[in-house]
Amino acid sequence: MQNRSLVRFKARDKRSTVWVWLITPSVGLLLLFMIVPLAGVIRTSFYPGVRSFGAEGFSLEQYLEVALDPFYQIVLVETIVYGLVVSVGSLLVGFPVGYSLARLPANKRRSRLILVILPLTLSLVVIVFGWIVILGRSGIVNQLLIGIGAVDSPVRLLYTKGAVLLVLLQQFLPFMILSVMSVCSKIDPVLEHASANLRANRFTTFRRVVIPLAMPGIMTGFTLVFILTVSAFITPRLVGGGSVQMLGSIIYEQVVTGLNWPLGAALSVVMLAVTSLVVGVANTLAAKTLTGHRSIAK
Amino acid sequence: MKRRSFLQSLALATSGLALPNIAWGQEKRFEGITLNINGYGGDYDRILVETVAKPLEEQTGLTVMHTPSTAAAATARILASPANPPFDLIMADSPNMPDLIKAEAITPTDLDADLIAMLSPNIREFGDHGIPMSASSMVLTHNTKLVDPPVESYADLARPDLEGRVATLNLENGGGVLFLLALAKANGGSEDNVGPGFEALRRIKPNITSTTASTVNLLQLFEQEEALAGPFWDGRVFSMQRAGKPMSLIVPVEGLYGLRSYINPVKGTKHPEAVKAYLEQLLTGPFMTEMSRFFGYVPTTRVQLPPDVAANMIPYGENGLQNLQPVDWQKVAAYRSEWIAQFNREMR
Repeated sequence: MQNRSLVRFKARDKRSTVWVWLITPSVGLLLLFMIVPLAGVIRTSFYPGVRSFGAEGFSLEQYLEVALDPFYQIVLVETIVYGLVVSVGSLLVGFPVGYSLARLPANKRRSRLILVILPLTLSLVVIVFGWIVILGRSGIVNQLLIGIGAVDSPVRLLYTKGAVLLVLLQQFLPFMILSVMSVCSKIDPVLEHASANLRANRFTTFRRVVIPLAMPGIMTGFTLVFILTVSAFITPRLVGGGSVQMLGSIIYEQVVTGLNWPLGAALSVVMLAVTSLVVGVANTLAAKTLTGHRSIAK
Repeated sequence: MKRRSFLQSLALATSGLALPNIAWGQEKRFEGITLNINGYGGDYDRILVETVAKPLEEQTGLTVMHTPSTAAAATARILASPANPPFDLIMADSPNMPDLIKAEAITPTDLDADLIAMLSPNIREFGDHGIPMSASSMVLTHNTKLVDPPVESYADLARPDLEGRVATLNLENGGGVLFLLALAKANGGSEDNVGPGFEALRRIKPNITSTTASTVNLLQLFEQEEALAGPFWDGRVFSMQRAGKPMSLIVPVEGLYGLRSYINPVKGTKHPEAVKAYLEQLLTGPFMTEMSRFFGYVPTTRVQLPPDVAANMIPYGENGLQNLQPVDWQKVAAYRSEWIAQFNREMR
């Protein structure tokens, strides 16, 4: 008996050692490339003045500037709103695509999946310049509008909020599709058939069976798209043309051009905190919804 | 063969084989060395490679690697890692120089007096720091087919007929800073007081369709007729004209404001001799002539340009680069972050 316990204990001990070895590389990488630089950014955000090289001391000056300047507050709120709009938009457009891909046989899914992934293989700058050509006054959209008689002369499509949202949606849509598809492909179709047998119509099945089961994929996609959107800076700069300002652009300008690293660092920390909060709240709400559905099912 | 004669033959053969390599090594004194330099991209880098890097590689075996980025981004990278700089030489514009000097990230150029004497008089703005490679200024441009009457001053950009058809660089680009300073100084302001510049900008704002940090983006806006008028770099307008675009190149009533692009040895470079050789080739080779030929830039050295090149340069007037309005770059560096924030507020 004692021997058996000892063997079990040793096996458990061995498993825990293996577990430590397995996570060591990722923890090491995280420490080296995320935690240490992040600590540097947080430290920089507490420097007084407009330069960090040769700076000393500890000050809340940068955070006060961010908190008291309405411009930064407006930009922060707008950035979050853009993130939410693009995330919801990509969910509405991406869910049907992801779900339909998940229900396809593997051989048919492959070719369609390439079409979804293809935009991710292109340089972002190339995509953005492509959109600039398409949405320009002499671009294909304006030519089409004039051709069908919808407008008499070219209309301004570029350098608007709508253009920025459209391009961001196109860029990040594949992340939503892939997240939804990976989860939906694991939902057993038998469950949908069972729901139909219980006289649930298609919408009820979708609402009470598919959505709750696909929620982890939806939340993963939502989180990815939201984070990518709020941190975007190339698209708002090139497609927004100055009229659309997002926090990523402001941080880039302060760090790279203004060399005001303390302010840029403070803005980055604020953005990180607010983004984490929004993602956290969204995930908690989704988890509650999921738990609610499960308890009803029980 | 006896052992002694075998060893003698072997030694002879080995030295015979090694001799050309030794001679080669002496001739190619920088064989195996790579100089890392940032780049401005496009034709600027192409001319640098063709007129400086390639001849130097042929003569000395030195390899030159250009990494395109903006001058501001390269400056930020150098300042971020002073102990292990990513470049041996950094190309930076006048607005970036004060920070590089203050952080002691670059060293004064250690070139022979006769090479320094080749530079145009008063062209250097930062003492012994930096070799000026080119000087460019902000001019006014408009589409000559679609804008009538022509624009003559920055104030004209507020004309009602240009509503939604003006584009400009933002303050992230040095051109945007020069535009703002021109507006400020023409309206009684200065580097210490750019308020009048922002007031003038407010009058132009209803006409502005886009502000961008990217020179290429602005070029595209003019070429696609998305924008019809605006302030732009002289060299870019010159190259658009050469490509047959109907764009004017006008010296604005507010005056010519320009900056220099410098190349600087980075402190801590492992190859100071190769850096020196690069700078020598830049000053003595065909770089200046080719820059003038392609971009129309007035050279920053006393180089004698071929007649066809000299006849087709940007019209700075008789005094050449002396016509550029002075700018206090120390103050620009100190205030730029504040101006960027103000510009963003105004342009919303």
